[in-house]
Amino acid sequence: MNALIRAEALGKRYGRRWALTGCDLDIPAGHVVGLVGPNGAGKTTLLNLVTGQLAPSTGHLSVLGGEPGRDAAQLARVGYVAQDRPTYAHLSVADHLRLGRHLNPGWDDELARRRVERLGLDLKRKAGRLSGGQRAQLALTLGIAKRPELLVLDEPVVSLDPFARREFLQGLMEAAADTELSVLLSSHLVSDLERTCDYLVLLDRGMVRMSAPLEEVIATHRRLTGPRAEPSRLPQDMTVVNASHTDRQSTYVVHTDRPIHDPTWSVSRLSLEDVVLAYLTPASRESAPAMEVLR
Amino acid sequence: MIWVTWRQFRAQAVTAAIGLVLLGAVLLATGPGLAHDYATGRAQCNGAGCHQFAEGYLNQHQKALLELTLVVLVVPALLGLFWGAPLVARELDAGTHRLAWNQSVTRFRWLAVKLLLVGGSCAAVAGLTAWWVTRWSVPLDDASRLDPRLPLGMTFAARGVVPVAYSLFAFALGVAIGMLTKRVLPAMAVTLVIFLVAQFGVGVLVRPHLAPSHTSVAPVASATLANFNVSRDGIRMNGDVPVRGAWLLSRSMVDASGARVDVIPASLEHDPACDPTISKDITACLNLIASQGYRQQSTYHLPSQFWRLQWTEAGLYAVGTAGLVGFCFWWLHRRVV
Repeated sequence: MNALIRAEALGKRYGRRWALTGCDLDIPAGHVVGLVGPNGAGKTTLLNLVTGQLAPSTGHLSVLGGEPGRDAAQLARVGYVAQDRPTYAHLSVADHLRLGRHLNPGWDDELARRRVERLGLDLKRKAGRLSGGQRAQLALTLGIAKRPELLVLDEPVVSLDPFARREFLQGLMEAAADTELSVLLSSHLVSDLERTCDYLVLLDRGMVRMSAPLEEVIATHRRLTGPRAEPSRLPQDMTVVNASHTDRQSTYVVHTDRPIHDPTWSVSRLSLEDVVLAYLTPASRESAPAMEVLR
Repeated sequence: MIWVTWRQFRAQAVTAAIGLVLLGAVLLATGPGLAHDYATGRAQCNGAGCHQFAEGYLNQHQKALLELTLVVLVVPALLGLFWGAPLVARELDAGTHRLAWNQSVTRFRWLAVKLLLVGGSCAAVAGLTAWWVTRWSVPLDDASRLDPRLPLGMTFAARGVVPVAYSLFAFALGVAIGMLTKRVLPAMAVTLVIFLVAQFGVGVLVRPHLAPSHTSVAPVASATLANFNVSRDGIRMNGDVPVRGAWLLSRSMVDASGARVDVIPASLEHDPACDPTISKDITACLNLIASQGYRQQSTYHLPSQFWRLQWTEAGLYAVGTAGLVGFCFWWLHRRVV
């Protein structure tokens, strides 16, 4: 299967600050990829690189086998719903659909109209007078009806209320299933990703910490609890993600693809959120802002 | 892309169309009367009377002429402000460039279509305004050739091809500044300031040198005298434009050695010929001045140089416009989203 996103030593610098460094990614097509990380981790930068809005400072990036944003054909293959879900405030919903039709050779007008109708958006209403959720849906409609092979969404549900959020993600998932669309969406809310994604990329301080199918993430991370002990006393073939100690007890979050039989340790499974937090808590990296988590 | 550009430009285009219709209405309402008055006046006058008629006619309509000239001068600035500056800045301000640049159209084509359509409209609006006002002013321009006191320099910027060049420059300037400020209002303010500085700088410092000027040195004579003034510190006088309709750059007195003098020394003032309380006729005084070697010198452009000046200045602005457009594409290539 073709690679959705392949990055080698990808880096992006703004002036003297590196927003992304040394990113290696190899994500197969056909996935709904969740990009998670704290604010300022470089998520938006990565998405802007994938959509060709930015050019990389170092390294190489190919999306669906092509250079992002190189020409109209590549632009047609990738849809992007940017963070603030931009729409033209003074243009009506119908105008937006016409805009999509005029600017995209693969435009699916039927799909767009059906979606708009089902969402109950008034065609004559100006986008500036829609609610936040409706505007997000309109932006999503533009992205989907363009019929891209990959749809990129930057924090699509931020600032939506829980109901609108669920509706939005549901609509997205339905569309992805109907049109065999690959999706890449970023969020700092793990719970959103858990429901929608089957592939996870964890970004922290401009670096890729983890990139794997969701099932694999759950299957290969374990929490070990036992009497206080140094990491060297842990079973072989595991990587310590996070460690915490009390006077008598040690708790380790480890990455391993082997079963753990050592009776010294009590082994428990982790939720996705626990795994992500384990990677991001200060014990696993020095001084970093706390992850925002919706509980 | 053409539809999208038109849809976003529609309101501005309608505003401009209304402006043009209003201007057209004013010109159509007043133009025929203006031409009629001139034609009848010319038919009835002869010799020096025609001179007098032209002077009166010009005085009568000078205010309207100035106002319309001002309209032609203001149009390019307005186009730069209201069409150029928001073109990209509005998108960057609202974040809609991220919508526009993620359709199946490269951002280069996006900008190229916008520049061509809106820029073309700019040229059309400015050209139409200038052409209309020029046509309206034909009798006035004609009269000012009879009465050489009205210099060519005054209306130069509102005639011919330069208004089109100004408008394209102002438009490209607005677009480029808008890309840098990413906000509409600051873009408009900066565009206005830079455009005014460019207009003023080119008009005052560059335009006189765009074509070789002519210099004439003429003997002092009452027929070629524009003004004459005797005061305590000496005599000041200036010669008239030596060629009808010429654009006077400078005029002064020169002494026998050819050096420029502002004031003819006071010693002559005590000569009875030049004392206004004794002599009413200045001819004797002028003869006296001429006998001492003083002459009138003027530097000017000929009316026949009008088009050369026009095209050279338009070319200068075109180079500036091309540079700005080049900058816009370069910036688009390496901009930070």
